Parts: sequence; structure tokens; C-alpha cells
Amino acid sequence: MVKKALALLAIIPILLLPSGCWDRREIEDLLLVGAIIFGKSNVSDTEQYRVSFITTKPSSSGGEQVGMSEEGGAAQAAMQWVASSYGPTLEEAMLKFSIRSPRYIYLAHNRIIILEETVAKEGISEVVDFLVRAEDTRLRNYVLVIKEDISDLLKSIPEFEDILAGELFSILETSIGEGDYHHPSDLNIIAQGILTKGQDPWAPVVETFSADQAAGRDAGRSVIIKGTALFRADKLVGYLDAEETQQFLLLKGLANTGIYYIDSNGEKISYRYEYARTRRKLAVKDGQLNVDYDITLKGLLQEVHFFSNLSKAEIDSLERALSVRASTALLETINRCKELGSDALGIGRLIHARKPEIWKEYSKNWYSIYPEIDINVNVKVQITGTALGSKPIVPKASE
Amino acid sequence: MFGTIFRKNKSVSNKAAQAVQMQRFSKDLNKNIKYIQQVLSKCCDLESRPIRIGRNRQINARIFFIDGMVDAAFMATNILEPLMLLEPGDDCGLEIHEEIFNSLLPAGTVTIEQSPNMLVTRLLSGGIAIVVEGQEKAFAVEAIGWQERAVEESQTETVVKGARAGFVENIRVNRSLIRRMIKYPGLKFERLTVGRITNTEVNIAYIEGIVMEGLVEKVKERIERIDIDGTANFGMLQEMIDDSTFSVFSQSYSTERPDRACSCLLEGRVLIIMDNFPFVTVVPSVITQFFQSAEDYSTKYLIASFVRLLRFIGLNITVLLPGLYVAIFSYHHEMIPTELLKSISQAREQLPFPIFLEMLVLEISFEILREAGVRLPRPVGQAVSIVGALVIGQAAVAARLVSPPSIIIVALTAIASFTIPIPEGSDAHRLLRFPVLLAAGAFGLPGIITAWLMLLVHLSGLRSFGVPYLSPVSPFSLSDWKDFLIRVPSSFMKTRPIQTGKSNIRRQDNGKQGGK
Repeated sequence: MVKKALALLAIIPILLLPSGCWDRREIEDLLLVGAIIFGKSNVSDTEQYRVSFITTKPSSSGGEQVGMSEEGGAAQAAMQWVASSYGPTLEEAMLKFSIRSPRYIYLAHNRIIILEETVAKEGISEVVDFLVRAEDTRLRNYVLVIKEDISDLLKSIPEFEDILAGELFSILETSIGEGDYHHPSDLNIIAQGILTKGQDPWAPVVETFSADQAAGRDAGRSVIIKGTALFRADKLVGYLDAEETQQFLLLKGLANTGIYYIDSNGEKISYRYEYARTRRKLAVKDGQLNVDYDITLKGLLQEVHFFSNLSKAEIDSLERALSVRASTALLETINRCKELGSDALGIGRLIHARKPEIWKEYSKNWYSIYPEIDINVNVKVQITGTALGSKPIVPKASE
Repeated sequence: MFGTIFRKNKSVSNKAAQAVQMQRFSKDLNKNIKYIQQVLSKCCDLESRPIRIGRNRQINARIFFIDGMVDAAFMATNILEPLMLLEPGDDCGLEIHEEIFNSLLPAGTVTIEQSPNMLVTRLLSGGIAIVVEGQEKAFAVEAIGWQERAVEESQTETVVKGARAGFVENIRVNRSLIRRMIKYPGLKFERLTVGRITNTEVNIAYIEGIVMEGLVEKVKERIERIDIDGTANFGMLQEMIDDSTFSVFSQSYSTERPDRACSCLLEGRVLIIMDNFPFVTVVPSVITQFFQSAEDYSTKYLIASFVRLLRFIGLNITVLLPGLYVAIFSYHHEMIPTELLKSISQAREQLPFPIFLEMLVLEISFEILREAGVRLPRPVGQAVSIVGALVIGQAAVAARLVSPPSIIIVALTAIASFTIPIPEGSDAHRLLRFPVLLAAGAFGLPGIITAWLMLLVHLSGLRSFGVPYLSPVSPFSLSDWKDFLIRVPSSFMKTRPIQTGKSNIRRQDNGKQGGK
């Protein structure tokens, strides 16, 4: 017994010492990549991939309070580290960082993937394949597309978070409930869009703008997320602007809240829906395939530029006007998608699911049939209230 | 090596035994006196006083006692006075020793000893020996009068609400504390003696009809098996009667509180009480006792259950937290929320040691501080805690030797370890966190899982006097969970624990309770 115990006591350290710790990495040795940007560029007459990182650069903080002082802004800016590298393949471009950075490249905490237009137009399947293969990337990384050159993006300063990636992430995560200007699309959706027939990928668009004007001083550039990029298979085909994005999200059933405004008697009335329900139906009439969108919106009147107690009849007529306004906008967006030739709405997938026998025929040359499909929109707008608890405030002069 | 030590001890005790030759008292008083004086030679605390007793003061007698162990006032009024002043009645026709026993010794506990050795033992445990001329027997009057600690509040198991009394060193007081709570003839105290030299009294207490079947015999047998010259600490005996001596978990536990001891008796357990030791040991001990405190039964059941769950969390934190911290922050960075990772990696920027080493050093220094704090005299202890707080808490961080998050982990672990109410459990788990830490440092989470499984395997194999240590978890018995991680209202505690209370399972009838 004692001999056995002694033997165990001797064996355990011997086992532990040579075996232990080969995967150990101290957290301060990790390069915490927050965003990866993929692009293509000509370097010495050959087209090469360009990979850029936006990373957290831990400032040595020590035990005492750091970075809380007057130089708060500067200290925050210093926490971001941005770098680009080039390579004929993605992996090579990625590994080249190791000649500059004294840390392990760590992608598990990456949250944003930005595709430059250069790479998006030529096809993103290589990039997506690379990311899905990489052991430490996550499928929940948000994907963004950038139209412009990335030099402005890399220069821009996060306004709220410590690094740009965090800022983009927060905008995508938190402000979707505040208005249908964008909706995040993640690596998983993109990968599925590339794979699935009858469903094309889409992603929000990131832009930079000069904050100087509003700030009244040299504030540098900041980022906004505006519009949607549409793909056809793995190639970028075009963009939807902010208004079209709202319709797009309604059609996708991803809408949260948004605004329609109409002119009534020369005054503007804005209506904000807080509830949106989208139903799609597939109907075959006389050998003709019809897709019907039934969209129900419920919301409040947020802004009324004439001062009146709205009567039931007035509200009814407003509802009708708003329905017309909404369905026109929605149809325009559908047509825009058809024009661009991108089935990001997933019409093909719908046919595949509901009428597989028809899809069998269509799938062969879906992209030529898709623009011909009849798509109708029925919008039912409900005004659930005037957002007023009492009578409206009416200025004395107008009485 | 141990063998030679034991052999030496044995020879010493044998020599003492050789000095004993006289088996019975002789009629010759001087021979008797000489013998007692010879056995207790070079004992400067032995006092003796010659007296003359009898009708005409013609009988010589001798009184022996150990100075400081007897009550002098009691001796004067109850022994010296009647023997020296009163006369035996006329014509009673009785022998003088019966005469003395019947009417001249107004004391409660008087025994007649025929063996001089027994008399010496009585003498050494606070008795007054009376040797009378011409008699082949002697009297031993118990007249304990030594100084002892009063019954005061328990130091190790303090409660906010609950009984204050704690056990003391005197076994008779301890017995009385228990007897006062259980006025039932079935409550038995059986006397055993341990230690060839110390002759320490050990009592086994149990309630007849409730106690687990066969347990008393098993306890007796294990205690009688102990062959030791002596011990002043029951901890040593505890290890000798445990089923698995090598386990880190103690399979019996000691309490300083009579109320807790009594509730254990009512659960069918056996108490082992040792003289000169202010803790009572309870066997068998199972895992539920890591979570039970005397306080739980004086607060509302909801509050008690909440506290029980806290203790469970505290136990897990004690064993696992330092290991988890090391494993996750050295191997599994993807598990950490991004913001937390950022802030901790910032705190660790440019620190000299890896997380594992940092934690190991901090945990060991905490143990050093704790040990120093316990051992040092109270006024110095204050200084130690201040120095410790400043050195570990403040200076080490400011000097950039360790990171603040590690300090938080160590502090949390230390505090959590003290939520376990019994010191045996707290100590075992505090020790266990080091192997877990090592496993975590070497293998990450798989290491922790392996260590945890090994611990579980060990615990499932452990038994305390035949009772599985993990019960009621394994073997599973739902009815015993009523007093484990939660405490149900006392009106639902109708049965004793299945393992120890099988022989008399019901504690309450199905009658109505409360205002229903």
C-alpha cells in the first residue's frame, strides 16, 4: 500500500512534467482580432489578397487606474491596432502578420468580417471557405460589405467603443430595434446563401463619413451602417439604399420597427410600425406562378403636422393611404432585386419548399426565370393609436 | 522506524507494570501505605494524612489524596470531620469498614476497592483514598475539585440564533449537557478506557432503540482495538477508527455543540466522548454534514435552504474556482466573453509569471497567512492580517507581480471555503483545490474533469462505519434529501436518515401540525 502510494507520487510529477502545458497560451500573448477585412489589390502587377486586422492593443494598465484621466480619448484610440498584409493566398496573407506582431493571431473573439467590393464582386466563396475551415473563427461573425477603399475605414475613429470592430458590432447588435436601417447577416447566413439554390446571400454595407461637419471641428471619420449589399450566388451584384433596405427587411420578415410617412393635405404624417408580420403564399393560377406577400403592420402615429383629434374615419383613410404607400415601396424594392438578378429574398427556396415539382424544372435556369415571377404585395396597415394620452397640443394661433 | 519507537514504548510500560506486585490489600496498614507510597514515589503532589478513628480512637487509618485535584472543603466537612469526630454506634455488631461506609462517609460516590492498583487509579482521577488498619479493603471517595473551564459558547461553530453552550474538557459535564437535552432512559453512556498510561476515559453515547443496528458493537470493537500508551487528542483516535485512514475526508466529525450532538443521536448515530477533549465525535459521518449547521434549524426553512445552497456553491468554488480560472484563461480563451478577456488581458499585460504559477503562489501564500493567523496569539494575529492584506492585496499588485483578477479569485476561494460549517470538510476541500489546480495547469478543462471524476470515484468508495459516504446521493434515497441541499419545513421531516435510522424510522406521527 505505502509502496504503491509512493510509486504513484513519483509517477504523477514525471507524467505531468513532460506532458503538460503544450497548448497553454497566456492571454496577454494573444492578438485579439476584432475585425478582419478581406480585399484584393494589385501588388507588383499580380493580384493579391489583402487581409487587414482591426485588433485590440492592450495598453499596459497595471493595478492602478489607467486611461480614466483627461487623455481618455487618446488612450482609447491607442488601444486599437490596425494592420494589413498581402499574399497570393489568404492563409499566406494571414500568416505574414507573424513577422510583425509578437503575439498569436487569435480569431475566436473576432466579431466582424468586412468584405471589400474588390473581393465581393469577384466572388466570396474562397474567403468564406477559408473562414469556415479556420479552427477558431465562429459562424456567428457578422459580415459587412464596404464599397469604398478601406483606407478611410482603417483611419476612422470609434466614437463609443474602444475599437472599431466593437463599434460596428454594437451598432449591429443594439440598434436593430431602433429602426429598420440594417439587419446583421452572419457568416452562417452567407455560407448558406452560397450553398442553397434559390437563396442568395446579402449583407449590410458599412460606410465612412466625415463627422467634421456636425462636430464643428476636426473629428476625423466615423463609420455608419447603411444599405444592403445583394449577391448573386457568391458575387456582389448591387446595393439597396437605406429606404430599400427597410422594405427588404419587411419582405424577409426581419423587420422590427420603421417609419412610413405620407403627405396628407400638404402636411406630413409619420407612422411608425412596432409590429410587422410577413406571410408568403405561393399560388398557381392558369399555369402562372404567383408569389403573394401578406404583410401586416401595427403601429402608432408618431408625428402629425396638423392639429386635430383624429376621427375614426380619418384614421381609416390614413390606414388606406399608408397601405398604398407601403406596397408601392415594397414592390419597387422587389423589382430592384429582380433587376439586380439577386434572389436574396429567397423566392426560389420558397418554390422549392412548397412546389418541389415546379422547382425541379425551374432550378435549371432559375436566374433567367426569377425576374419573370409575379410577386404581389398586400399590406395591411393598422394604426393602433395616436401616441397621445390626451388631446393634442394646439397652438393658440391656429384656432 | 516506527516499529522501534513502538517497541521502546512498550518496554517502558512493562517496567511500570513490574513494580506492581500487590494484588490485594493486606491487613497490615503499614504495608499498604508503603505500597501506595512506592507506586506514587517521587510524586510531590501526593499528600497523606494519618488519622485515628473508631470508638476510642484506637484504629489507625491513613488518608491519601492528590494535591489540587480534590476539593479541600469537601474533604474537611465530609470525610475528616465525621471520621475524626463521630463515633460508630454501639453494639451494632458490624465490622468497622461497614460501619464507616454506612454512617461515617456522607459523600455521594464512595467505592470499596480491594485492589491497590484500582485505588491508585481512583486517587489519580480526583479521589480521596482511605486505608484503614486491619482491613483488606480501602475506600475511595470521589471529591473532584480541580480547576476547569466553565461551559461557554462554542468557538468553532458559532450561531446567531441558537443554543450557546459548548462542550468543555470535563467528560462528566459533557455527559450532563447531553443528558439534559435527552431525558430518556434509552440514552446510554458506556464507559471505555483508552491509553495504557493515560487511562483516558472514553464514553460511547447512543439511544437504545434508535441507534443503527450493530453500530455500537462496531464502535466499541474499534476503540477497544486501539493499543496506545496514551493521547490527549481525539483526532489521533479518530484516524485510528476511520474506515479509510488515507482519505483526505474524515469519516467521523467532531462537534462542540451539545444540540448538534443530540440531533445526531436522534438520527441513530453514536457519539464518542473523550475526557479532556471538548469535542464530541459523531460516527458515522456522511456528505450531508458538509452542509448542515446548527443554525439551519433555528431559522425558517426557506432561509436555511438558501444558505444550504450557498454552502454547496461555496464548496464547489473552493475546490474548482482556482482550477477553472487557470484552465480557462490558459487554454480555453474562446469561452471567455470578449470584454472580460480584454479587461483581464489588459490587467495581465507585462506580468512576469504565467497564470498557473501566479495562482499557485497566491493560494499558498493565503494558506500561510491563514495558518499564521490561527497559530499566532490574538494580538499578533491582527498584525499578520494587516500585513497580509497589504502585502498580497496591495503591494503585489502595485509592484506588478500579480494581477488583480487573480487576487479576486484567491480571495473568493478563501472566503467560500469558510462557508462549509465543519472544519473537517473545510480543510479537506481547501487541500483538494491544489490537485485540481495542478491538473488544470497541466491539462486545462480535461484535467479538471479528470480530477473531479477521481474525487467522485474516491467519494463513492468511501464508507464511514459501513455507511456509504455519499449517501443520500449514492445510494440514492429521496427521503434523505429533505435535509441535504435544502431543508424542508420541520413538519415534513418525519423520518430518520435511511442509513442510520433504519431500526426506528419514524420521527413524527402523521398527526396534524401547526394551526391546520
